[in-house]
Amino acid sequence: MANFFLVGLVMGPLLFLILSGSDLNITPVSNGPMFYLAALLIGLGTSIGSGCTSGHGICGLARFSLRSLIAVLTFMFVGVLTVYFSTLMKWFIQ
Amino acid sequence: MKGLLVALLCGVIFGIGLALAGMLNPSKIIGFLNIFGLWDPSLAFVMIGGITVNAAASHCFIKKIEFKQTRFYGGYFKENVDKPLIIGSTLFGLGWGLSGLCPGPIVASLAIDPGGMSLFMIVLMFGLWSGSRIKAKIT
Repeated sequence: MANFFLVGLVMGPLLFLILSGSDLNITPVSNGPMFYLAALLIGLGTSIGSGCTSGHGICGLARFSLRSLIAVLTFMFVGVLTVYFSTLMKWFIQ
Repeated sequence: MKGLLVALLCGVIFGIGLALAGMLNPSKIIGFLNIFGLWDPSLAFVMIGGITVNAAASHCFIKKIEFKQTRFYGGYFKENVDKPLIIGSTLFGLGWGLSGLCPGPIVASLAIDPGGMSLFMIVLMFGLWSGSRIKAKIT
């Protein structure tokens, strides 16, 4: 059943493109090694932490789960810090 | 059969919603996380909307079905915040902040941008696999 959900999830944005006739604006923010390091971290993090923005953020918070609340606060905090320091680094490199 | 169709439809609705809300655009996610810079709070509404609809469904319907099937409100009562939860969420936050991507939008982008996302997806799946082994060790 989960596989059917995933197939639908892949089809959804395609349907959106066809139905709306507009283009999706996708601007990547990282590339090369940093991009794939992020992929590894997202994979590790979501399996060790048992969820992501959808699992903890939408479903977990909707169920009033304490674990999900702690998870969301943690990854929001770390995400904000990561963006802060990476913009700082980019500014210095330029 | 009916269940599979419902699952497919749920995926399609989720995918259209993500595309419509701009969640597939990494620079928009970074804008949301960039609260010390040019902050774009609009994605908070996606989250609030998603949680509101889900909370209604969860507490009106899903809870009852779950109790019927398992005799237990999974995740509603006693929960322990453990080490894997904190470590995992920290690692995920790092990856999220570096790329502006999280698992839902990653899967949803596969058909839109197969060239850019296939290798990313493979690395992510390796992360998921090794993560489950690490989790078993530290639990």
